[in-house]
Amino acid sequence: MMQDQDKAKKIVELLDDSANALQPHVLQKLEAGRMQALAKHSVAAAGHAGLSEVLSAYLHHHRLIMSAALLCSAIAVAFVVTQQFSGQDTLEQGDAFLLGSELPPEAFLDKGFNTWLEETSQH
Amino acid sequence: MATAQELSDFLKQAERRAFKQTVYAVRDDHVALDIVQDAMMKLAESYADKPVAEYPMLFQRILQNATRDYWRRQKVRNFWTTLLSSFSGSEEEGDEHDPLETLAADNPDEEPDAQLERRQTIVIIERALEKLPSRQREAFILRYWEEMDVAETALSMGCSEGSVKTHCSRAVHSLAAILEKQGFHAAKRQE
Repeated sequence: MMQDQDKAKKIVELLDDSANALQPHVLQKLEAGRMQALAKHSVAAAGHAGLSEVLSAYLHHHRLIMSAALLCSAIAVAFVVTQQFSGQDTLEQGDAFLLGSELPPEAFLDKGFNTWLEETSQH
Repeated sequence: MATAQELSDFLKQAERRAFKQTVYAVRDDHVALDIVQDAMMKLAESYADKPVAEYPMLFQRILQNATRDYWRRQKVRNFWTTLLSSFSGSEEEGDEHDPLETLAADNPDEEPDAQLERRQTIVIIERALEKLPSRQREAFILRYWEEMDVAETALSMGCSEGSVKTHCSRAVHSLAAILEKQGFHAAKRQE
């Protein structure tokens, strides 16, 4: 086994000599190939960048649009919240009216009562 | 993820051996250059997110697949050429290849006789490598030239570690036997 290793090592030394004596035009083509590979690598590496990096880069490039979008969202949220509170006032007022009325609240749920009211008011 | 600098360094140290290795497999300098260039680009494009430590094995895989694809295409082409014409060009494969052409600068400090002998030894080894069965050649190159361990070589070749050992041993014996048959000894140049 050790003999195999030694033989292999000596053969490989000769192969190294051969690889180190390549003709200039071969070396030039290998270098050109390497350069093309590096160009492809930078494109591929950009494609593999993380989503967060892409997102932060996008946000950075579109700061104005993003600020406007945030402002609009804040206004929309404020409007919805305001509507919610004002709606609650209306409900409270309705409840107070029903409770303060001479008629019991059940009377307004009774459809027959509306019919009776219309007929009575016509007379 | 490997940086551009790491990729560049890796390719720079691997490209010459990759080229020679492919020449031994396809026996054509131009085809070998195309295969190595394509392999470099595929490595950079498809495996940009991989760490640099995985590059040697991935690069070898790409090279081996590209070499096999080349031979498959050649087989189909030769089949149709033979079928359509009796003037098949199959003899041109390798016959015009002269490894001496790829040997350029000699060591100026070396004696001319020693230079000549070394060149002859390299030519014989390269021709012997070309004649080796492809699996033996792959195993020998990955294990000894690319300095992968047995497990890595097995993974790269898609076979068991036992097969790698067998291929390597047979390859070394074949190469040594061819050298000795030609009257060269692997140890000679060391003396």
